Amino acid sequence: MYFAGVDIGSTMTKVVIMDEEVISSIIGPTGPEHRRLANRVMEDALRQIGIPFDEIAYVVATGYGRINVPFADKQITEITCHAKGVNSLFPTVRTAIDIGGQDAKGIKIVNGKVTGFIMNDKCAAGTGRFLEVMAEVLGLELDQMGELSMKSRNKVKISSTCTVFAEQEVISRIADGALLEDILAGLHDAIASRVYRMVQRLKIERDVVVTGGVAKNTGVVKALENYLGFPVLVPEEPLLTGAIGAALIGRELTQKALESGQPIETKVRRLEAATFFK
Amino acid sequence: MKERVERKLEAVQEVPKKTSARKWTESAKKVRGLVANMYLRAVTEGKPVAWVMFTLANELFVALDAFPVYPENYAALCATKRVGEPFIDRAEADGFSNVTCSYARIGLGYSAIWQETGEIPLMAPDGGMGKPIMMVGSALVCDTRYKWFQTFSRYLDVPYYAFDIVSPPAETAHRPDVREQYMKYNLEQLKGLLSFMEERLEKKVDWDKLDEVVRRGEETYRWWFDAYMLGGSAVPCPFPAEDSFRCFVPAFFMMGEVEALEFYKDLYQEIKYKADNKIGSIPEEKYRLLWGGGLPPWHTMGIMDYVEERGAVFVFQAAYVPMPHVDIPDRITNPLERMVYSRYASAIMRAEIDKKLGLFGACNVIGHGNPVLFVDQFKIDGVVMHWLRSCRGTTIGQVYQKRLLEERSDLPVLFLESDMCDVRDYFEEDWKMKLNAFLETLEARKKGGG
Repeated sequence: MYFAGVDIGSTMTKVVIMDEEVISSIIGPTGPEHRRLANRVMEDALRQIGIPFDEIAYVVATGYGRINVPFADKQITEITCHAKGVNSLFPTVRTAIDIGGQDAKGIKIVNGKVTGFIMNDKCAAGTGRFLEVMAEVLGLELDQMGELSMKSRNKVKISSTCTVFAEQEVISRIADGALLEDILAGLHDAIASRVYRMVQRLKIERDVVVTGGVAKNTGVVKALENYLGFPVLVPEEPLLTGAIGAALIGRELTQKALESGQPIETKVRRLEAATFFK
Repeated sequence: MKERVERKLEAVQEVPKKTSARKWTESAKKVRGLVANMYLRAVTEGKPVAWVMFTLANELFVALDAFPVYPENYAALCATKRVGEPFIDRAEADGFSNVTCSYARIGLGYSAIWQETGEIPLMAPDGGMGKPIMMVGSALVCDTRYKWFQTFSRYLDVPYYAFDIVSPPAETAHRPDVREQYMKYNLEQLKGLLSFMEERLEKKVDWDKLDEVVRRGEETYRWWFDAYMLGGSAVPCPFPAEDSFRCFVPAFFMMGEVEALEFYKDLYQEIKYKADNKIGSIPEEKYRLLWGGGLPPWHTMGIMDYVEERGAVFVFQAAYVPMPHVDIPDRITNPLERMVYSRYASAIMRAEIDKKLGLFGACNVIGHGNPVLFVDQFKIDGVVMHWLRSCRGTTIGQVYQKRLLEERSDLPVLFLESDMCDVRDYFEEDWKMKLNAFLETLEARKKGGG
């Protein structure tokens, strides 16, 4: 029996298919058109393992685009799905820090269940978008930033927490002749500081995992570790935790229904593009 | 004049989408009419109008037969009808910061437009706030209030009076010398206000009438308190927070009037009937929530419906909590002294309750309750707090309260951010996502996992 989790984030769409373990996963860009076409990412994932959609017993959609997934049986928020996914990967984790394209969140977890959470509000500072803007200003690819920043010996202080003002600050530092790696280290420190302060309101407990696209940036992870004072865990593929959690929840719901002899509460699913305007 | 008001009423009825919440009690349904009538009468009846800060002194206006109009309430009205933005824009264009209280910004923008056009702004709902002959400000609750009303008076060239109602530090509130000094000071303040009003109205107060109004107010406070506490404790909840966020209006803005007293008697009876007969608001009450602090999002009260559709109900709100019962000694016969005594005693009582629970013990007369007090009393499953971008008075201290809640109850607490009136600070999808995640958290706890 197969289960699928679909996580439609602001930047990337992730699909995981599992039976007893993950057997297929795909990460594709969300984008304006792709958001409508999440079915294509699902089709790619199915193609990987050569099974038809009908064989998926249960589909859970999560992420900010979860509402418009016509092929999902249930919608569950990314908070709950992340917690479930993190718990399956790292059962000792009590605090998850997820830094995605447009939001950052902290989640407290006990036995795979959420006991508290906090998120940023309407501000790109402390999110992947902040790094995207800065990469553009500095003429870098996103995946170059982390390693490059590790060479820094004299971190530049970026005092603004606003993405727009920080951009101006970076331009000024470039004009001052600051080294690229020092500016990057400053930017990573700025994002880590902001996220740390937010998550600290939850009372951070070990172990801590960092997930989301920004977890791929070693510079931000290192900066977060500096604030926390201890090392953090990072999944092999930090973008997939929400989708894994969604698939796991689908599996649990199915198993519970089967064990209790109840019908599995699925919906009429259509593996097709979402329609936003009727 | 009435025609003009009606024309304006028509002009502002173009609300694009319903953003208000469902009303569950007959009493709550009456409030809209009371509010509309309040503004209409102030514009049409020709009685002297005063623009007043919420001051706990409404009885003086009733006794002197003047119409108090409360710009705070009017700002909330503009927000609920989603017509506050032009006033906010105008205030900001005049140089007021976008983090100045949005109640103030709406009123200031309104005054600026009036000053410019010489008439009540056409987009003003309910016929607008009538032309005042005096402004009465107070520092009760927050410090913005002094300057806010002073600025009104400059825009509209109307005399302004500021007065004070102060509360002592909780630790010393019971010392007779402290009590005497504070009550004396507060009494002087009320006397000063009364003199100012008499001068502006060119009439003296009828002390018998004031006594009658004040005693009616005392009775009203009791019914208000009893109704709210019964509403919070009843299971299932017959009186959700969206209703109590409406039903404080007569207590705040009509205190001393017969209509206010009758309103709370009716409200109590209605809640009692529903409580006795186990008539709740929503069909299946899965989660009982507490609105733990912060003013509500007047611009989008319909968010309460969204929560209820998911089986949760806000059974109480800690933002507008009635003063507890106070027994005023018979020897105090002067109505002003009775007013001062009840406010002071109520503040002390609140501080005492806090102290008994080992809380901070803030001593104040305003109606904000510590959410910790209500968690057990009202069988709460989770607490939601509202961080308001432009209201320090009700936002400050929320992190402390959250910590207390976590220490003492282990209940999950959700923070939502926006503003009471400025809809630009509200992000609906974000709220819905957080509320859904919060309800999922509560569900997990009920299942024993959390």
